[in-house]
Amino acid sequence: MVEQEARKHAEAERAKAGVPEVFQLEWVQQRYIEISRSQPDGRLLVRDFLAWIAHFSLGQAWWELALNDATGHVLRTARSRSQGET
Amino acid sequence: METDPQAGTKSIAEDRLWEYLEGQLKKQGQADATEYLRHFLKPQAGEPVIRGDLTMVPFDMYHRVSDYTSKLDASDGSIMGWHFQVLADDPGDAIPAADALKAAEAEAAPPAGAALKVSEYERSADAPFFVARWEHEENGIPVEMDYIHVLVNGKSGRPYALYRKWHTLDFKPKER
Repeated sequence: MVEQEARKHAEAERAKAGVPEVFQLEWVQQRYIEISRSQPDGRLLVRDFLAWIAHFSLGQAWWELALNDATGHVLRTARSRSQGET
Repeated sequence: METDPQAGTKSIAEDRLWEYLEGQLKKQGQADATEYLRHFLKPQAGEPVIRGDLTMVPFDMYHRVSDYTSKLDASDGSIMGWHFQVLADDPGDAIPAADALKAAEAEAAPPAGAALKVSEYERSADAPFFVARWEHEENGIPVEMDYIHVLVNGKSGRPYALYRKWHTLDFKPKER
């Protein structure tokens, strides 16, 4: 996936991920990230992914989606504690 | 497990030693200080020497000059960080930054993929200290949250703290 495709995926996935419409996509950056998933047997399995971090902002408030480079699906969401006036 | 056949004798002698030291402090009107004695002093018993009816136990006395903290990875025992405060005391910036970086590099031993991101003097509470920070990159792509951070006393040229989080990329799910 190249940057332009990552931007398209970010815009396509944002609503499902909960990013309010008023937030603007500022930048995307490729990174390796660790994702952990709890298993039914209680174990916590971790693996690395090549991902695109999509950063949305509104003033000081922000959302970030981590998109799987291979599929474009959201691996992780994060947001600033303060969400401004949204 | 081997046991020290003289352990009982040494233990009794150490009890006597603490009693003596605490008694000396009390004589000097510093009874409140006795509770700190065991924090600042550490006796290490030598081999008992028997002279006639007397059994004498020599002690090497160690004085705590600084706290030292370290953090180890529970999975493999590797060092994740350490901080030795006494080496940070008496700060300065006399050492050229290039030399401070060499000292930091020797301590950090940055592996392949380590990209130097910070190499400069900073100040905290108006005291200078040198910071070197490497971040993990693979083929130019950052590996999130992986770094090595070293603090160097710019007067002595000695590193006094290291913080390390680093891992080898693995795309198969497993426990870490």
